Amino acid sequence: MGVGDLIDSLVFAGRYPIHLFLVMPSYDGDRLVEGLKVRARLKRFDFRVVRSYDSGFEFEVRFVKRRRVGRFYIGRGLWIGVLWGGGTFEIFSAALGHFYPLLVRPMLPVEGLFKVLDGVSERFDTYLLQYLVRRRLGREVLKVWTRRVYGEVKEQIVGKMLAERFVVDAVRFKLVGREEPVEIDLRLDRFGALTIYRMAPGLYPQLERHIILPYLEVYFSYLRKAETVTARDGEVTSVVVEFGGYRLTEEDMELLKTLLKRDFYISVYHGGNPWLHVNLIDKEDGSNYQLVITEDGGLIVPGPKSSPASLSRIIDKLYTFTPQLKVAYQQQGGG
Amino acid sequence: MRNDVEELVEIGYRRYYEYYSRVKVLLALKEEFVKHRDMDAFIEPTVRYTGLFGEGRRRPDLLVIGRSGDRWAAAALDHKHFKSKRQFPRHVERVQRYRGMGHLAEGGPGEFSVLDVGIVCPRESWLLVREDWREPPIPLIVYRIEGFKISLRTLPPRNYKPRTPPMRWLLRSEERVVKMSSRAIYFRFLRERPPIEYAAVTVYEALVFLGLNPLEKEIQVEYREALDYINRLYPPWVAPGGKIRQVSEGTFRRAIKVLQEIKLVRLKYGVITVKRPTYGARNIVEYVMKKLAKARLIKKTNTTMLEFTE
Repeated sequence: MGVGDLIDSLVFAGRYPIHLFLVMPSYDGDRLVEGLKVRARLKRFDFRVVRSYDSGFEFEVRFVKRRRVGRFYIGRGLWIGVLWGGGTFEIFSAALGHFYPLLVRPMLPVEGLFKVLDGVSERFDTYLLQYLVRRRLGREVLKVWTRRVYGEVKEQIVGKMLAERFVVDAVRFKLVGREEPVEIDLRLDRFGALTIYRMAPGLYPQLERHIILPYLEVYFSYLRKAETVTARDGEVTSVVVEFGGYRLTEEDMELLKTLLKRDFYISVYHGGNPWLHVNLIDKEDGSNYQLVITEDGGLIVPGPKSSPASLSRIIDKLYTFTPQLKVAYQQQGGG
Repeated sequence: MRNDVEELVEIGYRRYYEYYSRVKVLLALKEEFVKHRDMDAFIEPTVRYTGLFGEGRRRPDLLVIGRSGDRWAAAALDHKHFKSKRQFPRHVERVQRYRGMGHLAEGGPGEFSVLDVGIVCPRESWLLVREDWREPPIPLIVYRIEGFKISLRTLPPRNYKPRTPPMRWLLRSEERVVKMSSRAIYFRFLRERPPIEYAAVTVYEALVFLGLNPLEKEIQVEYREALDYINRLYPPWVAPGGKIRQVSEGTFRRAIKVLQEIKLVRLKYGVITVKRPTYGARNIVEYVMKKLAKARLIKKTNTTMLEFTE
C-alpha cells in the first residue's frame, strides 16, 4: 500500500486530521530503524515497529499513556510519516524532536514557505484560512483567522510581519481547482508537516505534485547552500547574517542566549553588550560553531564538525527577532 | 565559601580570556601582515641572536620581517597583560632585549636586524598605566576585541621614527580595525603553555563535540585517538622550520588530569568517558570554572585541616 492508498483509505473512513511528516534520514536502511529504537530508549519513550512492508513500516510511538500508531514510507533520502487522529500531531512532533539528528525535519525560512504558497496559488484558487505566528518571545504563539484569497492577503501579512516582528510558522488554507473539481483543506508548516483536514479521495497525487515536491525543491535549494558551510582544505565558508534594519537590543541578546541554550551547549566569550560571541555545540549531533552577533548582523563560523541541520537550527533562532533576516554564504581562505 | 568560589571563578575567567585574546590578536596581526602587507610574520619563533647586542635565544610573541633596502629588517612584538602599573617598566625592559642581529633558529629568510620592538596590550591594561606613562618609551599597540574585529590604537613615543616596514605600517595611522579571519576559530593554543583553566575548558569542549553520539548516553573517546583528532581539528602552526602541533601531549595530559579531578571525565584503560554538561549549565566556560574553583577550595581546606590536626 502506497502513501496515496493509505491516505485514500483514511479519507474514506473519515479519520481526519491526517498528518504527513516529511523527514530526512541521516542514513538509509535498517540501521536507522534500529537507531531510532535506541534513541527512543535513551529519551525514555517507546518506539516499536509493528509490521514491516516493502515500502516502509508501521510503528507505534508511546509517551507514558499517550500512544499513537502510524506508518513510515521509506524513500531514497526522504521518509514520509503518515499519522491520523486528534492529538497525534503534538505526540509525533515531540518524537521527531527526540529523533534528531537521526531524522531531520526539513525546516524552511518564512520566505521559503511563501515561495511554496506562491507556486500553489498559481494553479489553484487559494484561500488562506488561518496562519500561525510566533512572536519574538519564542513561546508566544498566536493563531490568526482570515478567510481571504491568498494573493490579496499575502502582502498584508508580510507588511504586518515586518511591522510587528512576528514569524509565520504555519498556514491553513483551502485549495479550489480552477478546472477540475478539487477542494482540499490543508495546513502546512515550515517544519515539513502537512495536515489534511478535508479532501476528496484520489487527490493525493495532486498534493504530491503541487505541494510536497515544491516544498522539497525549495528546501533542497536552501540545504545546498547550508551544505557549503564547512571548513575544508584551508577554506572556511561561513554564514553572514543581517537583520535588515532591525537593531538587536541587549534584552534580545539575552533572549537569544536562552533560545540557543535549548539546543546547544554554549560557551560565552562575550556576553551581549554590545556584541555576543559564543561557541556552540549541538547537544545531539556535536556540531560546533562560533557565533558573533552585533546589533545589526552577525557571523556564524563552522567549527571542525558541522551539519546543515544544526546550522538551520541556529538560523531559525535568529528569525525569532526579525523575519527580514538576510543570510549570505561567504568563503574565506586559510591563514 | 560562596564568595571564595566566585573570587576563584573570576580569577579563572581572567586567565582564560587573557590567553584567549592573546591567541586571537597575535593570529589576526600575523594574518594582516602576511596576507595584506606582503611580509613574513611568525608567532613565537625562536630567534638566535649574534653580534654586539648579545647572544642567545629569545622568543618574541610575534616577529614580522620585511625588506628594507637590500636587508631584512624585523619588528618584534610581545603581547602583555599588565595587572598593575608597576609591571609596565619591567615588560618594557624585557621587550627591549629583542633588539639586535639574529636569525631564526628553525630556518627562515636568513639574517635580519630587529630594529623595532613594541608591546601589544589590551585596552584595560593600557588604562592602568595611562596616567603615569602618557608617553610610552616604546610603541604600544592597544587593542580591543569586538567579536571578529579587532580595533587597534597605536601609541608611539614622541618623535619616534620607525625603522622597519611593519612598524612603519602600524604607526601610519593612529587607529585601525583588523578583521579576524574565520579560520581564527581553529587556532586555540600557542607554544606558550596555556593556563590550566584554558586548557581544561578547550579540551573538554573538544571532547564533547568529538565524542557525542546520538545513540549513546555516554560520551566516550579513546585517549590517543582524541589527542590525534584534536590536533587534526586544530591544525598545526606553520613555523619556519616545520609544523608545530597546537595541542601538545603535555597540555592534553594536564587538561585530562584536571578534568578527572573535577569529575568531568573518567580515564580507564585508555578510554575517556566524558560527562555531559548539566542541562541547566549556563555556559561551559563558567561550568568548568566553577567546578575547578570548588575543587581547589576543597583541596585547600583539606590541607589546612590536616595541618591543624597535625
